[in-house]
Amino acid sequence: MKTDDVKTTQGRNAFERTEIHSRMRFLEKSAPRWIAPVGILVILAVWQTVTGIGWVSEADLPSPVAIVKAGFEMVKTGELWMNVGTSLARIALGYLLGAGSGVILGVILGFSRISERVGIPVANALYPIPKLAIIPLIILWIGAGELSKIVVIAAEVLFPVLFSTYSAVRNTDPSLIRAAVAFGATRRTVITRVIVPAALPTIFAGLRIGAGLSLLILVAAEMIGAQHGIGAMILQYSSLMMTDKVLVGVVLLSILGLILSRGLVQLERWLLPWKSE
Amino acid sequence: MRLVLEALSKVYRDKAGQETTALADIHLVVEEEEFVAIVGPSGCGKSTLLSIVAGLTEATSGSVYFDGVLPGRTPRIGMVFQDHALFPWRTVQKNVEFGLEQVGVGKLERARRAREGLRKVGLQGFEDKYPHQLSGGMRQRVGIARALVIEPDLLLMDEPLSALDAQVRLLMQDELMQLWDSVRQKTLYVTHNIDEAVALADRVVVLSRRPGRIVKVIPIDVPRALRKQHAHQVRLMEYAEEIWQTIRRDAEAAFMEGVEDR
Repeated sequence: MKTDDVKTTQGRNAFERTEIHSRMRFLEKSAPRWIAPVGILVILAVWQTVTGIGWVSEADLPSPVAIVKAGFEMVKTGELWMNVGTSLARIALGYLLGAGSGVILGVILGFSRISERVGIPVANALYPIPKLAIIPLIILWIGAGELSKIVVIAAEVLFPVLFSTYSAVRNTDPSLIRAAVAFGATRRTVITRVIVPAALPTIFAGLRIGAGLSLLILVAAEMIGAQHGIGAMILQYSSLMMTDKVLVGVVLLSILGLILSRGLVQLERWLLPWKSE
Repeated sequence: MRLVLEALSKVYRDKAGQETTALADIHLVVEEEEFVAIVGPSGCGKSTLLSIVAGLTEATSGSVYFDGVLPGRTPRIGMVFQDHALFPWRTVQKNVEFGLEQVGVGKLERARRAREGLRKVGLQGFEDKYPHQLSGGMRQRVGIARALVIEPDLLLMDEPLSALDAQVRLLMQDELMQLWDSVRQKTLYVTHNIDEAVALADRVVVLSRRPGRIVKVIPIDVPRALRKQHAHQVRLMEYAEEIWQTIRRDAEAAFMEGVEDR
């Protein structure tokens, strides 16, 4: 086609300009930081209004204000701190026991071919068992005391930590090991100075999964057989139909979970400064 | 002290019992203050060769030894890796100190020598950075500093520049030349880049492919200090051409097979 042929009546060239803009912009929409607290406030306000004007009965879903009130009451009587303290002690001990043995066993399985051959099939068989199912058995073995809760939590946390540690140790970048050996590192140095630090980020991934699971199993164990603790408290008040106090327990669990995961993030930042940007 | 490779060979056996001869009958002597480059096509076993000298792989037969070692002295080997192999959890400073830790140098002396080594490779001010905060060229400089600070009796470099882009690579080649001039330690340098070998080495050892044999040893008779000069370019190009003609057929075969160098 001859370009000169295409003319409009004004004599200007009829070809038009088509500009090219990024077509990815629809994916790049950003949101301001203040939107998060505002969003939560809006949700709370709607909740308060819906229950306040009686659309939903306070007996089914207490308003945020009612929950806070109930919480204060429980603080005054002292039951809140007692239950929270009991739960915290269980989760802390159970988590430490489970995570600690998970890391140690994971390192052993990752190193020794014999224990790997024997241990991995065993671990694979035990891992999928819902630890809830063995709570009665554990109570039968060691009684319904504190220890049974701690052991159940430990059993739940153990496996994700064990598997992440094991695979991290097995999959250490061989070029790092070669470098260490080339510069004269002994077997011991390779383990402590190369394999363990290299495995830490993956171990932390297991620790984070374990933290979430520990909260879940804590509540379950406390509901099955405990006098005190957040789980027991929730069960007790729901059988009394005191939904405001039930929700105090639920809110506490949410806070506990947040603290756990934030704490791990902080610990990771502190232990693995080379991972953070 | 010199490094001797005597009748070295390496045979790999896979699970099916299939044998592959990676290296066959390698004889090589690296003298004091000599820079020897090893070039060859993919699959010639040049990295395996370096790995054996570094004590990271067992040879199937033959031996590697230092000759003329003073009694009671353990020769030190410094190594530079293609993928730099820096420890990501260690700062630049601590990475450079790693080799010194292994030979038992005290804390203060370690820190002093690592700082000195980093200054030599132009990285003063980066001591507290982590490897992931550095560019590829800077990382490899850290890798080079880590190998040099132990004052090695033998320097092994396994394609140290081949992970870098073309421009950085040329810059690093010049820097490496100057650095090496200041340490003058016997060096085995593995590369697939012929120009790099010709630019850096006193002798270029050309390996054939599978089995890896020494097919030619070419002394580069242009003083290293003069190799940048225009007058010597033609001579250097002739060396490169000679090497290329030697390995061309093998390189083509490797290309058709698409096998990575092992």
